[in-house]
Amino acid sequence: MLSFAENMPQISKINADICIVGAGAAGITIARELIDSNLQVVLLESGSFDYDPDTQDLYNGDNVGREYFSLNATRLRYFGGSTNHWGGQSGPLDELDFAKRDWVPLSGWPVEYEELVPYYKLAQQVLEIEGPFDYSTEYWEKVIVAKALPLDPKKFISSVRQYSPPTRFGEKYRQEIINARNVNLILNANVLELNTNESANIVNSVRASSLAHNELEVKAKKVIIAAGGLENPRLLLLSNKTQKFGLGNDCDQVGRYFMEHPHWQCGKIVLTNPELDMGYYDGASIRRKPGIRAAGIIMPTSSLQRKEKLLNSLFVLKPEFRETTEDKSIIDRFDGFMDHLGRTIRKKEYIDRYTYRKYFKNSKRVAYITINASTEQMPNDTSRVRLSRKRDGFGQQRLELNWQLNPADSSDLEKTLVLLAKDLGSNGIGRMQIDIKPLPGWPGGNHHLGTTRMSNDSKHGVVDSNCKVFNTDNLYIAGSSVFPTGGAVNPTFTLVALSLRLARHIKEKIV
Amino acid sequence: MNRRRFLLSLSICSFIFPSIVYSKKTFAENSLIENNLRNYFFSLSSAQMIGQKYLQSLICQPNYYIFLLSFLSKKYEKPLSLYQSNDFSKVTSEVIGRDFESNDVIVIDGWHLSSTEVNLCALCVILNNGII
Repeated sequence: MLSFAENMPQISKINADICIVGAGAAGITIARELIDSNLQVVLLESGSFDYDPDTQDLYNGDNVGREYFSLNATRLRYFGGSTNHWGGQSGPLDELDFAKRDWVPLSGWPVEYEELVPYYKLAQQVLEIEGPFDYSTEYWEKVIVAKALPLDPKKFISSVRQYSPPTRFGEKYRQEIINARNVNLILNANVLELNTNESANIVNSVRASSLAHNELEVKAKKVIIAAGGLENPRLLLLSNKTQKFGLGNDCDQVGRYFMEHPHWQCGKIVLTNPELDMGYYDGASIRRKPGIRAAGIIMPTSSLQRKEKLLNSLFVLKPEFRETTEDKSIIDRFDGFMDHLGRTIRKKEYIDRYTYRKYFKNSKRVAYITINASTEQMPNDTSRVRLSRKRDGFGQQRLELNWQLNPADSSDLEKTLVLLAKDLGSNGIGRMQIDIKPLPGWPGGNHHLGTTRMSNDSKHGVVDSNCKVFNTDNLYIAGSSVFPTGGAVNPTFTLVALSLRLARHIKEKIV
Repeated sequence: MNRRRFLLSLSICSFIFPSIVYSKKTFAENSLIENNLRNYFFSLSSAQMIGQKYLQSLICQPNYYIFLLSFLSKKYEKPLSLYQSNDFSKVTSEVIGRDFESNDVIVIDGWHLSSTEVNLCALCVILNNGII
């Protein structure tokens, strides 16, 4: 069922079993999982089916820490959420990412990797990932038909990131949600606060409003906030009628530990043999080959991370092909061809590398390889979001992000790169130049992690292992804000797996 | 090069390399070494660039050539001039591999290089410039 809050009466009251706040990857995944249940579900979404600047403006806020994307641009506020602009890169966290590591303060998920594996497998389907739940070098070497670099397997692994098409949840699952007999999707419903009982352990209702001020009150047995890694803590902090500092914030944990995957330029690799096939890592080429939707990455192994006490990291290699005189004349001819088609793309650097290599086989010599990294950030309680003094169209306090890094976040990257350089040299693969700089224009991956972190106790987190907010009976949180640590891979795959797990837990709990 | 600049260069060279003296024997040995090095480095100019940078860091060494040969003699089982070209490449690759494994690395402009290859690069500069 589909409704629009702006078409509803001035004041409406709705009862349901489950109220989900936010229709992005997490919210839609949970709603879909509940379709075959006997539960009545209300799915509240602030936006509509398309981008609307007035609604999007509710996401505006201030960056007061490290340079970051505008808070208005780093996420999308309409049906489908940020899946409306995500890139589709997917992969599971490593087993070690879930473990307690004595060199990473507050590490250790209350959930083990093995417990999440069945949900990861289901997440592959949700995200329309064509390959199996297999991220091993051996499997992907056969599929890509290219060898990974012969690095020491005890130190570095050539895994892959698989690619979702990318699934636009708002398009892909729209009809399924609308047609579901037990799901009431209400668009233009901006959730303003959660009302609780006096002791703040039960959420009695969710108050929402359209931009035209049609007020809506949803009473539900269980409430799930799935509004994204920045908005989840904001909603808890804004719900401060009974708890002065916000819901679930008895120990001042809400909004703290904001983490990203800092992106870095790391330098260059020159191969000892420039004819070496780098196809395993050449994502731009692979993604255009039918049936292959993955690209190789290099990561430090768990044993190396343990031995050297390193944060996790992920390296993307981009081969740059040598341009010989003969190649140059071919490029000129290619330019002429492009001219003929009236295309404006003429310069060599704009020619897609796959097309170039496909037509001109003699251009296989790799001049050098650029190496970029996405790294794990150490949990840091001073890296946080909080409410600012500025207010949005509803008079609600906007968000202020103070993103901070620890010295270890970059020094661990340097240590890892030195080890990689050593491995490349000792195995005769090539030599590496290390020159670490933040990736221009990409301080992170638009990944908002850790702001309502999962923990075994309320002193160090906001939700328990079932994603239930501590000291509440019926309030849950879904999304990457519950990640206690972020690993180095993109978070959507894991957040969908966690959402599937939460949906199953909710079904079991209510039935 | 005019006479004045030539004399100036000569005086600088004699200051930098005071104890290196030409002899027929060393000239023949050096040709062999240089030949081996040429075969090893597919881009001699790059090797020389690395070598130049390294030599700049050795400014306090009284005699570069002796220093380099002495360093390399510890890495190889026999004098460089006694290796056949193919053997030299093979043995050098092994020595370089061992350098990386034992963390015997020199960083030049951010490039992480084995100490052996850097010293070979420097030797390349000295031999190729004909300043010994």
